[in-house]
Amino acid sequence: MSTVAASIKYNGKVVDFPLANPAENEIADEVLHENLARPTTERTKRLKARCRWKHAAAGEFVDAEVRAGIERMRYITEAHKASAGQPEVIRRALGLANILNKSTLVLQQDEFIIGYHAEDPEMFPLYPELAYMAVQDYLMSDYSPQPKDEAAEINEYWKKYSMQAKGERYFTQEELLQMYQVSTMEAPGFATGYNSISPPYETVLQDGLLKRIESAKEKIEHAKKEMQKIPWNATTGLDWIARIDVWKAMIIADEAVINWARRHARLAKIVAENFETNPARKEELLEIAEISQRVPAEPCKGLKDAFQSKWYTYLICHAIDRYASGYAQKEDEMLEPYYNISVKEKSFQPMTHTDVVEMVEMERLKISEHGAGKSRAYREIFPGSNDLFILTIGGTKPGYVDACSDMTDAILEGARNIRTTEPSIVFRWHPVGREKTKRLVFECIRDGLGYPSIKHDVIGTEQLKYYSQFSKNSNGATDEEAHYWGLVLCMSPGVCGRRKTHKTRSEGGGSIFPAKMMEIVLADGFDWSYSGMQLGPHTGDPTTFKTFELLWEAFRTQYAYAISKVIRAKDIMRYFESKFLQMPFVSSIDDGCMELGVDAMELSEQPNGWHNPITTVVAANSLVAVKKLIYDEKKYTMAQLVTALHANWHGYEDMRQDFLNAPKWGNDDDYADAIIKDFYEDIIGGEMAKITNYSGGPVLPVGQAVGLYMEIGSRTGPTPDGRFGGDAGDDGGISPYMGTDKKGPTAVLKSVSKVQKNQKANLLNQRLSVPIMRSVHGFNIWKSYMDAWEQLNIDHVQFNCVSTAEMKAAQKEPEKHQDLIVRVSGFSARFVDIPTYGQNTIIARNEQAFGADDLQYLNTQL
Amino acid sequence: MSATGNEKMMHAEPGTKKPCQICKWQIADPTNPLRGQCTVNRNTLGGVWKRWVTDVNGMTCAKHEVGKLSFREHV
Amino acid sequence: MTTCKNCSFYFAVPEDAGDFEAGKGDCVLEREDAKGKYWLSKPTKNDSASCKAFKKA
Repeated sequence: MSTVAASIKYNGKVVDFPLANPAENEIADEVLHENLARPTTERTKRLKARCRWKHAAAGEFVDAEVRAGIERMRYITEAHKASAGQPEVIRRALGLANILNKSTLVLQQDEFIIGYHAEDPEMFPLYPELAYMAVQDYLMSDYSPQPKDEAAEINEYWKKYSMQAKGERYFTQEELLQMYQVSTMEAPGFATGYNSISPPYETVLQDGLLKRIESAKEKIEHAKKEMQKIPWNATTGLDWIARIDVWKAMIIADEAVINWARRHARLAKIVAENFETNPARKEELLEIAEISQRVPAEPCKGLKDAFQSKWYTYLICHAIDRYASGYAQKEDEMLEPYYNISVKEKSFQPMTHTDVVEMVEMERLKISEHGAGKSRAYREIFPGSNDLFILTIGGTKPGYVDACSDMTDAILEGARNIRTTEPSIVFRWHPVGREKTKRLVFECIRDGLGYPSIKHDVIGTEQLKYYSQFSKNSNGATDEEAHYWGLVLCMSPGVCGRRKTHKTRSEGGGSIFPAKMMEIVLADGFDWSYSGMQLGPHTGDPTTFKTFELLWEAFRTQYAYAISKVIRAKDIMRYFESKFLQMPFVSSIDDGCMELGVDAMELSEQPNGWHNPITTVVAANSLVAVKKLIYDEKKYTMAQLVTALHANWHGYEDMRQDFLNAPKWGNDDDYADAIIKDFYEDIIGGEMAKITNYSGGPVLPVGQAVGLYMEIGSRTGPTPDGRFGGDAGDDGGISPYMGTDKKGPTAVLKSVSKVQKNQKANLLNQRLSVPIMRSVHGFNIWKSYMDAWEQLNIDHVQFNCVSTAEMKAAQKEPEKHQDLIVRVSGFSARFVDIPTYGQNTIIARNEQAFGADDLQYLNTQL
Repeated sequence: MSATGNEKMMHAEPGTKKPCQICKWQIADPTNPLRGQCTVNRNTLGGVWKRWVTDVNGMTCAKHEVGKLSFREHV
Repeated sequence: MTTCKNCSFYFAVPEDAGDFEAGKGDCVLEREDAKGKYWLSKPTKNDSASCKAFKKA
């Protein structure tokens, strides 16, 4: 039987919490999530049942069938050898063309959106031109590409040309060891190949690639005429050489993409005419063939075109030309014009709203079986999912006018109905957003999907305008462009649209770990618990720190050292990307690259620099405990603390309890919050903001944890907040440490709202009471909470709505809980595909109920 | 409690027949496949306190056990 | 020697296709595993030696 929340007394009356859906009274708490899926059609039900999930956990693939393919690495190598001597940007285009011309295409039963990026639907491609260590790791695994000898030979060939070899030359061996172990710093992109991008999908959908090719040809003609001008002027004339090469590369890439899409058209037609026996499916395959013949070559004319053209573009940008995580797009606004054509006007590809919901479900399932050839570090840190896929909806248009539409609703309905871990959704919250859509957002959250996560629309929009002032070519985001934003990955807004989007990870992303830094600050920069090496500068013996301020400054020194190093690594990578890892296809679909003849890896118009502090709250709570117990109350000495930590608190349990019970973040505690606010604004944000990155702007913190709060926790010794060595870190960017927020949900909001300066974004994880959210008052309570959150100017919030009973039942019988989804941090995951360590961190989060005091503060109308 | 304190704990032993590489408690390094991570230290609440293995073929310890753990038992 | 040209899974690339080359075709094979049916298409040449999947046209 389902649990019903206890009645409370509120505003002088007794409030009961009957379930909104009385039928759920018969469903036990332990199996609730297994009863919530309702695929819109029999087709999406079948597609979900046979979905080829590619979830990873602890660095391994959960499904034994998943393995690396060899075709991509084979064909890019073949092209690289054959193109020696040509301009590098042309070589990159020829590499893409060779992959697209020769690779095996895949078409699966029942699917409408077609296209895959490896030679078998259970495979994923590898990228030897990026990081040789990442490929070597695959070669040593059970899912190595075959034949292994050929793959090893390819990796050996690329070793000297790889981004890793190029980047490593500019760091000492000690620096590389410090970064590669991922304990105070995330390893640089040149050693992992990890990347993120926001493709300018809109040009493909609106213009089509044939028009882009024509533009490039016109540019070349113009350039040639400029070069022929008399008298010759080398100071301007020579600039055309590189630009001509960039435009030529764009043409090669776009023609190859068109041919590749049309190969898919042929495949669908051949299957229809030679293999398919079902007349309805035969007809559908012919329609699929007709669509792939037209797009992405031509502009999209209806919604089916748009879904397909977007998918092809996604595959090239995120998986075939180069690996990139994410699914960045402002999907509702991008698709709305085509929704209107197909659903409202019915003038092309006519369909109903329900048909659109089915399309959304099919797209979600395509993403769910997308394989990412990412390095081991990234197979570890998104446990229970296959990669980060996050799309953005909602928000506002210029003038802060509501941008929600029926397309927004279809995206939410599809997500709610099909229940997949990917892609995650971000909803941009603004008071003008329509309630109909907000109710659908609530239904997804209430059903335990963990998404949409919510971002503050005004903070995100104004932030992009702030960054635009640093534009190197004085062409940063306009007001209109600043309103059209989506998250690049989990947390950080970036411009979407035809121009100025985020093209590579030098601009943002990458992590830094304050909890581990706190540990080494107490050991003169030495890591005694994990690596046994000096991880940072010598900041002194902590027992000689006579004041709290000396400890504070020692931490600042460690932090400043690490953050400058990781941003330097990203910018060095960007330098080499612009010389050897150009992206001619991406350049061809960006209006700025097309206009200026500059490759996307080189051109930066809109700065958007950020880096992710992860486990900040462990360090912050530690500072609070040390200040209180050592410097203010003088109950213990620093020497006693250091001794107890080196013993992992064994023999010092009373002392540990004192440190554990010191004031903690998230309880609206003035003592803790004053220190922690300073910590965020002065050190975490303040030191980062001193940096100027490749794009000419400051770098600001985006606090978020992904699964790194587990990985770093397991590489971090005991800390003064009372943590044992190996325990997980804090799971958000600004979330209270699990189980320590004991004053209710509104106290959390009040604490978090105190941090405002020098921040770009901060992830707030909250776990809500299932019986309250599923009650008749669920929406009203949540809506009043969200309104308060918005007024407090908090950047982000996301929710778990899953019971401890159900998670514990799933730990016992995982096979019976395949549809149990949880929010980890920035992504949602299938609970049973997460290691036990990670599962326990989610169970340990406080389940926030709403008492009368909370409701009073929120002014909830019940 | 250092990472390489004594013979019982993880230490370098060139030519060892019990290298970390084949130990069930070892999991690969996140970046460099020649290194690894030891996960044998576990606390009662299920925490896994890792140690860096700088050479998976040339290090060992007294807790060596051949095998491979499920992803569920790692981090 | 049997060649792709004589195989029922060989489909010549039409002359108006962007990737047309004389003698080039698509080899389209049906596969099925525990998760369902799918089809693979790979470029080939009509004079290539046939493979294990060869089926006379």
